[in-house]
Amino acid sequence: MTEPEIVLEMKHIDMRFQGVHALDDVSLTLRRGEVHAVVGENGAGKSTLMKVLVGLYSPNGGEIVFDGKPARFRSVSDTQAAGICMIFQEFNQVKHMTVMENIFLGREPKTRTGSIDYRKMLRDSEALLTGMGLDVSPRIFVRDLTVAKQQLVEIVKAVSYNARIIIMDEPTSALSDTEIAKLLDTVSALRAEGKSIVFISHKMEEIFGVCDRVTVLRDGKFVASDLVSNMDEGGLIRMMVDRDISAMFPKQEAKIGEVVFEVKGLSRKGEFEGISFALKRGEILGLAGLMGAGRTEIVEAIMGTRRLDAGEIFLYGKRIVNKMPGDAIGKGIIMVPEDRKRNGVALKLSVRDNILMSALRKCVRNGFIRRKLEKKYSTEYIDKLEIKTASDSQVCANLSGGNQQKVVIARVLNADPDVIILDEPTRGIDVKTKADIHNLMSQLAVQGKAILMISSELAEVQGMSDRIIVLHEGRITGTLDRGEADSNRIMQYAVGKTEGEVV
Amino acid sequence: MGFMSTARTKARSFGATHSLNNYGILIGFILIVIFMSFATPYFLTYGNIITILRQVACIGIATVAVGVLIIMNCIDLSIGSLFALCGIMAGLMVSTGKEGLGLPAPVGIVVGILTGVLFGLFNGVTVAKGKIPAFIVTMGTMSIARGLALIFAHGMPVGSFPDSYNFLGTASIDSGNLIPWSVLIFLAVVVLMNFVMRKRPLGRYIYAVGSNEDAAIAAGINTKKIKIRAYLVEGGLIGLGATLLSMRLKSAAPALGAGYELDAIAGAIIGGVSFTGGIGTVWGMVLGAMIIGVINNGMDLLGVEAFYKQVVKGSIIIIAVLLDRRRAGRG
Repeated sequence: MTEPEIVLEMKHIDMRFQGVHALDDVSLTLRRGEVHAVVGENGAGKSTLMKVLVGLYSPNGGEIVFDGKPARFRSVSDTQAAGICMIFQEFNQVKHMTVMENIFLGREPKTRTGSIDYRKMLRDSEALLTGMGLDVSPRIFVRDLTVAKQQLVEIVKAVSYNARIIIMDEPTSALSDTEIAKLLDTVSALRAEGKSIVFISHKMEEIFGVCDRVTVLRDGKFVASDLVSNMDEGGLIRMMVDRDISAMFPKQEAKIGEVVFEVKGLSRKGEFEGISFALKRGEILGLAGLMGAGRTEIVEAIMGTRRLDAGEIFLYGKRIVNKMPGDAIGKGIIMVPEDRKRNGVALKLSVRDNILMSALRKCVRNGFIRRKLEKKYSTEYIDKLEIKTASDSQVCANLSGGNQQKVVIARVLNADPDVIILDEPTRGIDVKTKADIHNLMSQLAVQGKAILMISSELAEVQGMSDRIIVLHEGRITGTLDRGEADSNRIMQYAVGKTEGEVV
Repeated sequence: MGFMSTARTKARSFGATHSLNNYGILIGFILIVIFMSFATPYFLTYGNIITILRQVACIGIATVAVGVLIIMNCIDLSIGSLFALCGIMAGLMVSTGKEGLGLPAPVGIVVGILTGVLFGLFNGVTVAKGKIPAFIVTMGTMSIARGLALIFAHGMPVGSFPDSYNFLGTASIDSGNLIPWSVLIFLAVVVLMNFVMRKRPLGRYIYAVGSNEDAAIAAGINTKKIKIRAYLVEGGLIGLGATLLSMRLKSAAPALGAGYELDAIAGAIIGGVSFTGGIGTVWGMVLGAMIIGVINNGMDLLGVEAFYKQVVKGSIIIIAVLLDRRRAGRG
C-alpha cells in the first residue's frame, strides 16, 4: 500500500512566549484524506501548534511546507484562502446572527447594487447544510442552537470555504454521546472526500475509533508520530504522560458519616422539579444525566445564583437560604463552576489573586492585606495541586486550561468548605490533570468533606461516586449505589426510564 | 511602622503586565519633558513645575477616582458636571455675596464633598441594583448635575469667598510658596488610594469585578456592594477635587468643568488602565494625569492657540494608547 501524498508539513517549529518554551522542535506531517490526531496533556503545546499553523502566532523558528512550497501564513484569512480552516474550542460565532449569516460572514453574496443578497445566501446555505445531512434552518439564530449543532454549523462553514485541511480542537468536549457519533460520522465523510483533518482530543475511543494517524506532544516537545493501527491505548497514554496511570479513578475508601447537607423539593419553573437528596460526610454523590437535564441549574440554585421557586436547603439540619454565592461560601458550601472562562477564573488577574479571591479575609490583619499570608496560602495550593506556573504573580491567561482549572479548585479549597460542588470538574482536561483532580477528590472525601459532583462522563461518575443520582428533564429518575451502577442502567435512567422500566 | 514602603517594594506586581506598562508610560513622560524643556527654557523652572502640579492636582484627583471605576469595568461621565455642582454647593455655603450663606469654610468643604458622595451613591446604586450600564446612568447624572448647578447658582458664577476658604487652594505650607496645600492633598489622595487598591479587600475586589464579574460573583464576592462602595469613594473624591478647584479659582461657575471627564478618563487610560477593566495602577494614573498636565502647560508656554490645543491633546491620547497596545502585543 502506498502512502497518500503529503499535503502539509510543519518542520522544527519553535515558539517562545516570555520565557516559556511552548514549542521546542515540533514537527507534523499531514497527508491527504487522513484524520490525524494530535494528543498530549494540557499545556503540551497542541493548541499552540495549531495556532502557529493558522497564522495566529508566528513561530520563532521552523518552517511550514504546504503543497510542497514553503508557506508563511500571517493571518487567519491567509490560511482560509489557502484552504486551511480551524474550528476553535470556543468557536467564533456571532451568536446574534442567523446560521446563514454566520456561514457567509465576511464574504456575503452581493446583489448588483452592492447590498447583501439574502436570497442567494439562503439558497447556498440550504444546499450546504443538506449536503452535510444537517437538519438546521439557515434562518435560525445561532444562539438558539445546541452546542453540538453550533459545532456542526462551524464545520459546514469550514467546508464551504473549500477547506482541504480542517483543524478541530477538542470538538466533542461539550457533546453528548449521540451528538459525538454524528460528528464522527461527519469527520469520516470528510475524509472520504479526501480532506485532511487534524483532530485534537483527549478521548481514547475517538482516537482509536476515527483517527488514522497520531502525533504525540509532551511539554512542548515532539514525542512520536505513527499510524493508530500500530498503537495501543496503554502505550499512547504512556507516551503522553511518560508514566503509567495505573488508576484513572483512584477512589479510596472514605468513612461515610452523618448527613451534612440536604435539599428537599427544590423546584424552579421550566428547569427542575421536586429535587430532594442528602449528602453525607465523606461521601461523593454523582449527579448524572444528559445535557439539559437541569443539573447545573440545580447546583446554581443551591449556590444562590438562581432563585428557587420552591424547596428548602439544610446544612447540618439547619435551614439555610443563599441569596448569592457569597452567602453559601460563608456557610461552607462552595462550587467549582462548569465553565471556567465564564465564571471560574479572572483571566487578567494573577494566580495568587485568583486563589485568594474566595477567602481574602484569611490574609487580612488589622484591616490590611498581608503579603506574607498571601504568599503562604497561594504557594501552599500551588504546591499541593502542582499548578504549573512561573510564579504566583503569573497572569492566569498565560496558563493552560488544566492549570486554570486547578487554580479554580485551589480557590475553592482555600475557602475551607465542608460541602464542595464540582460541576464537570475535568471537562476538556488532559489525562494527567484529570487523574490529579480525581485523586484530590478522593483525598478530600477521606478528610470528611461532602462532595457533590456533576459529570457528563459516565466513566467518571461510576469511578468516583459512592452514590449516583440520575436526572432526566429536571426530575430525579433513579438513584444508584456504587455497586449497582453500570453504564447501561445510568443511561436508561438518563433517557427518562423510571425505576420499574429499567432492566 | 514603615509598611507603606514595604507595600511599594514588595507588592509591585498586581499582575505581571502592569510594571511593564508603567515603564513605557514613564519613558513617554520623560521624552515629553525633555522636548518641552528644549522648546522653552522656562518649562523646567521650579515655579513652573509647581504651577503644573497645582493645575494637575484637581484633575488628578478626578483621574484617580475615575481610573478606579475603569479598573472595575465601569465609568463616570458626570465628572465634569459634578465639578460644577460640587463647587457651586461648596461656594454657596461660604460665599459672602448676596446668594451665599456666609458659613464657615469647613462647612463649605464638607458640603462640597458630600454632594459628590451623594451623586456617587446614586450612580453606584443605580448601576449595581438597577443593572443599567454605567455609561447610561452617568450620562443621565451628567445632565442632572449640570442642570442642578445652573438652578442653584441661578445661572451665574458664585464668588466672594472668604480667604479662610480660598486658603487650601492657593496657599502653601511654607512662606516661600514652595509646597502648595493642594499638591499635598493630591499626594495624600494618591497614597491613600494606592493603599486601598493594593492592601484593602475593597481594592482587590474592584480588580476582580473588573476582570470577570461572573467569576467574582461565583467566588463569593458581593459585587453590588463593591460597586456601590467604589462609586461612593469616587464621588467623594470628585467632591474633594471640585471643592479644591473652587478654592484655587476663588469662584465656582455652573458652566465649569465641561470636558473634565474626558481629561480624567484619558489620563487614566494613558496611565495604563485597561478600558475593559481588571488592569491598572494608581501611580500609573498619576503619570497619565501628569502627561496631560505637562502637555497643557507646555502648549500654553509655547503660545499654542486654544483651538489647536484640543487637536493636539486628542491626538496624543490616541497615539499613547496605540503605542501601548503595540508594545504589549495585544492590539
